[in-house]
Amino acid sequence: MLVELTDIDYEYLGGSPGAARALSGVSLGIESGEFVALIGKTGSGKSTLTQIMAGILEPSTGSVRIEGRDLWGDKRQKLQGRASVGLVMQQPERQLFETTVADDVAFWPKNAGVDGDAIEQLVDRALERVGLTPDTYRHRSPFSLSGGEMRKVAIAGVLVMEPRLLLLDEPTVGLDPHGRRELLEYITGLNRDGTTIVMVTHDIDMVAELADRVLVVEEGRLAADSTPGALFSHRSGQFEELPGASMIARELARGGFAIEDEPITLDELADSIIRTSEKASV
Amino acid sequence: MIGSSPALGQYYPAESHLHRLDARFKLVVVVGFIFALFFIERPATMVLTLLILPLLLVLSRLPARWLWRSLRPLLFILLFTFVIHLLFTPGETLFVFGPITATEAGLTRGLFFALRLVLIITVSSFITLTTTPMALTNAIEMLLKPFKRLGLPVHELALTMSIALTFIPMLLGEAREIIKAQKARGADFESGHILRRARGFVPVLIPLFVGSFRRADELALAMEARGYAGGEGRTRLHELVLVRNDYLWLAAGAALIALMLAADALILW
Repeated sequence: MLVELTDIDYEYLGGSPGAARALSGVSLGIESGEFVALIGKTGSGKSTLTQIMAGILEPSTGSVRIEGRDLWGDKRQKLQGRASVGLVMQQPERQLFETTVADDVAFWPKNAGVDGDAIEQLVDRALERVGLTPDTYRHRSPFSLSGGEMRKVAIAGVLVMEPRLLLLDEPTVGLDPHGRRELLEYITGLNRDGTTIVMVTHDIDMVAELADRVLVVEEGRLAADSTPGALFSHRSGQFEELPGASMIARELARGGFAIEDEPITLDELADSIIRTSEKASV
Repeated sequence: MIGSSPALGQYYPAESHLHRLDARFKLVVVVGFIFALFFIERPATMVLTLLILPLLLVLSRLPARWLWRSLRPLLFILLFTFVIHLLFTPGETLFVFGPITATEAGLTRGLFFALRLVLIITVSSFITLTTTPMALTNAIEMLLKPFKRLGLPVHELALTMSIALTFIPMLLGEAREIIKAQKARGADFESGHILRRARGFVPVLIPLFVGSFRRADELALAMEARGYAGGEGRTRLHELVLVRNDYLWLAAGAALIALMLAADALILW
């Protein structure tokens, strides 16, 4: 098990009269190689949950283990555990601060005590991963870049340590369609190469398209843990928001054109329509 | 760590007489009170004046420890004032400590000046504790209005102050997010000696500055887009209206100050 959360409670301003429960009784495990989507309304606790998985927030009760190492146990376990988790926060371009792109991406390896030559290699590899040519970008100031490029540099600054678990909090928000597609390609590429992905998003179509597992957070609790196919099944009606493909299928059924299976992506929908109409014409 | 300190945002929300009182009157009464404090000559009056604190606590429904909270950062100055007077006032010797001597007159003088500071700090902190920062800025703007003729940009000053006030929680929130992001990249804000730790905050301060400049630009644009053109002819959404109660409290405040001064003149010891 790569990630193991047990009975996590999290309280903001714990102990004071303004205390607010952000998470209660969350337990879950994530296996190596999974692509997990984390969905739920604004304020439901998704971001808090990712920050707890990253070891940035300490849970009020419960334990967080990464590859069996207790993130809030002794210091050595903590450092080792954290080193295998990368967190891309909302609008990660806010974290840029160095004078050059290369220096900014090198921030984490420098903190982790990686030595000079190795850092350069890691930086180049991370920049290439997000589609930025190292020779063109290395010496530029991160503040002279476009919004989309800044986001890529910020993400490279997290990928640079090649974390086994990558947590992304609404990574595509504010990007144009082209930038969005590019970014999602890099993320799926990473997942294919073995990186475990946990992605917070409001984009249901993206979930249907990419994730093999969906976690639904509702008012600080884990309300559902299932596959996109089961969650978006338009017959069981488990979830109120549906991907575009599911809604089209439902409308078609209502109009008398019943599709046998339950497509959730556009590709599946097209396949289903073709199959259903072939059957009808036989 | 940034964000966990309650020092900013002094306001303590509650329903009380002091909370309802017009902010301008609170300011005027407190300024009058502090002024009067400097006319008091007898230590006994100063001690008696301390009775005002429980009275204000009852009227404002504040927990007493909030007063302590406003005093705590100034403890060193209080102690310093006390010790300087204790040791450097000529008079009958109280005790000798090495080359320095403390005097009886020094003890009373020290207490006197320290108590004066305590009263100034605590009584004025009642203003910030019972008034929202916004109401306070409005009140200051209105009280400063006469100085407009002398060329003081009163409206702009007040606006700058209120924008700064609304930005503080936003900046704190942003700082908290940036700290988390840098921590996730292995930044260490907690260990090492003070210089190292100070340098460690560069990765937080730079994004914070960049963010505030961007936000300031955006705000200026948004204000202009909605027709902001300076203070001339602008009206307020919440006009400060004085009610009879406000005048009653103002009279009560004035009476209290008069009582304090009279006591000082009458008390003989």
